[in-house]
Amino acid sequence: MLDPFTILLVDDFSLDVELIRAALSRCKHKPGLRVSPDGESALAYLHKQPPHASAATPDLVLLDLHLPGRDGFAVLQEIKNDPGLAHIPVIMLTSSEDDGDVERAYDLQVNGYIVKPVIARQFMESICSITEFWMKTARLPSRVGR
Amino acid sequence: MPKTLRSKNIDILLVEDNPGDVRLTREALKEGKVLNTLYVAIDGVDALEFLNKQGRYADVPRPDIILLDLNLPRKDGRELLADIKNNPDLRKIPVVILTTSKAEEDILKSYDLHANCYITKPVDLDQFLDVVKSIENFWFSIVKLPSGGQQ
Repeated sequence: MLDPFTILLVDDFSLDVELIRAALSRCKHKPGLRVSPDGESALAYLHKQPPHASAATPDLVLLDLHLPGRDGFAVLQEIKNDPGLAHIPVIMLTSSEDDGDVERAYDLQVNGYIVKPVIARQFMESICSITEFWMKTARLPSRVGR
Repeated sequence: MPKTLRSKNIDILLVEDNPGDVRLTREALKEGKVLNTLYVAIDGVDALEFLNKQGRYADVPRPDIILLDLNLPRKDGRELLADIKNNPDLRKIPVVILTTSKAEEDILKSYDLHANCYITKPVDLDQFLDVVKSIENFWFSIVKLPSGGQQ
């Protein structure tokens, strides 16, 4: 049996975190969720630093752009330049519609860039669409026994 | 008003040597909700000429997204993926691997080479059409693609 599908959400805005939690509990396919409120703690988790020594590598990372301390770009860059982490799909999930941010994220090899819909219901629907796509349509590196 | 949906036409480059799969993909995309133009390259060399606007491709647009088969004549998809993602001018273009290969090595290597996602083509016709719809829904509606940034 494979471990349950797990998403690492890196987001410090608690309302969005709660909306995503609520959305995931209503989606057809329900992944596990781990939340890191900033980039440092997300990277510590991914690198399995104490107290995360036994942490499972997430199947998918949802990464906000504006974070306290190191921002989403810095976190993305560190993941994609680390041969041990580069294969993990990272989706930027942010309120920024700025073309410069979009270009920069793709240049740093983000797997996809998604603007958070302002309307809560649409936001929650998009969360289910994201998980459905990555759980059901895409083949993930984490599911091939790495 | 937030621009959550693109009204712009989406230019897709499909790199695929199997005419049957090209035709199926074309038909499935035509039925979709998102306005798109499908360009087809039949192997990796042809695709690079398209992306670099060489020869007969002088006037083509930069694609918004690339759908890439792995097993191709002349230059295969793995090599082409590495070429695209190592090229500072092309690396921003999202590349969706769409292949019959289920080999673990291909999945891992594609993500290591920064493929944006990897999808196995179902053999079943209805399932194939569902996959194209699912690509359309995720990549053309939910995701914000880079604007193309013609330099």
